[in-house]
Amino acid sequence: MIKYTPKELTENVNVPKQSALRELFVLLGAVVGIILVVYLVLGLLVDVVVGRLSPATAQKLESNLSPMFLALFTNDTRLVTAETELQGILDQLLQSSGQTQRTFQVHLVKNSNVNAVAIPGGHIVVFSGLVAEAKSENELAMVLGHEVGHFAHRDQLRAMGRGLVLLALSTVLLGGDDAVSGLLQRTLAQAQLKFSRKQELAADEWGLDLIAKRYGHVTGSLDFFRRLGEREKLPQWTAFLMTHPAPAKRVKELEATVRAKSYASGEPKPLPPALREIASPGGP
Amino acid sequence: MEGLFSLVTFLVLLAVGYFAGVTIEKKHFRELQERERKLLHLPCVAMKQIEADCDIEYARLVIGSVVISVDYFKFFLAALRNIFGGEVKAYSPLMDRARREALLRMKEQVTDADIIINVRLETSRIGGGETGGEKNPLTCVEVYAYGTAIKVRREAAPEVAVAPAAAA
Repeated sequence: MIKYTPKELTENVNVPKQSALRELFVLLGAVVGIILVVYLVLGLLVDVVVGRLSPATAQKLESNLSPMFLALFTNDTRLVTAETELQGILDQLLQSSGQTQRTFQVHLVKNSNVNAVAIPGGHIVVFSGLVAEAKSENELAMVLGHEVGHFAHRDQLRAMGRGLVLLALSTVLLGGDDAVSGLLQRTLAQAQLKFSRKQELAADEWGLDLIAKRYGHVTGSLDFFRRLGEREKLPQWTAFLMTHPAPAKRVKELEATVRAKSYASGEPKPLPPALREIASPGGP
Repeated sequence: MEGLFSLVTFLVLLAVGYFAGVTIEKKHFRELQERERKLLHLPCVAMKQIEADCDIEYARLVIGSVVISVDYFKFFLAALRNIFGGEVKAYSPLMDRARREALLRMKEQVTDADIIINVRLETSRIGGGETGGEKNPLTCVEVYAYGTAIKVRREAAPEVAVAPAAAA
């Protein structure tokens, strides 16, 4: 019979010698690195592709994307008159610069946040909080022109394209219902709400150009951003600040543009009555 | 905001998983070592039968089982490992603990036995299914050890056994 000699285990091969934290950082680093590289490459590709789409294709793409965004906002019937006024400002803005090949629809939404959003498909959603803060028609026209600039540069499509790339990436890499990819989707999808500073500035310049053509001068159009810079700390402005560049810097860059293009100065146009009503305390 | 919230939840889960996991694991390994030392005299073998010229006092089934849960840190680490492949080092110590615990629990049933033969280990997964339509990523592992404990009937006590010879 075999003799049994009891022997105690002194070493355990099943317990790794290196810390698990180290493994976590190595693996996490690799995943993040891969995602970053692919994201950058595909992002560049999206930029190229979006730039080359024909206007018709781009608009079709946008209109496919618009319903899911528009569903986020509800129109207020009390604001119809004001909405029509805003639409009028925008239409004149576009007509005077000859940009009539594409139509844009303004939606005025009751919301105390000071913000405006450009939604794929030519929809510009303006929050009543923004109208309430405006002091002249020129200021509102500048905001509208800025959003038109985003459309002209196809910024939404670019942002959507990147967002889609990201979603596709994490789904392919980790599987749709994985905890890791779920987290990635949620955190990074939020970052997609933002356009780059460069895109914002380009949209601003586009807006400024429209203003100059419509009113013959750009006086007053930047006042909105100026006041924004002064009142940066107020809570109702946070929404705007989350999705737009720091106003002080922005105004500085725009003033440089105004000087460089030697835009004329003049008298800003007062707000139409329906819009002024929103600004007054008793308004809707 | 929702993204931030889920990120914080995730990081808290990860930290809790890591620190609790490390503490529990270290403690468990220390305990295992201690208890194994105490039961070192009882061999535990996989062979099906023993050949011995002796009377068997008893031969009976002994079992020992344990269920150990994966912590969130291990789960996340294993999920990352799934991408690249390779040894899932997060789970190796866990399985080791489960096997040794199951074997120990089996041995502790029959500390007076001479040997446990025909020892087998079964492993199964518990959880990881769907609860209320939502997929539950965390799983437990069950290890189940069983074997046949054998006790050999000893001759009468030595002084008694020696007595007739002394008389002769």
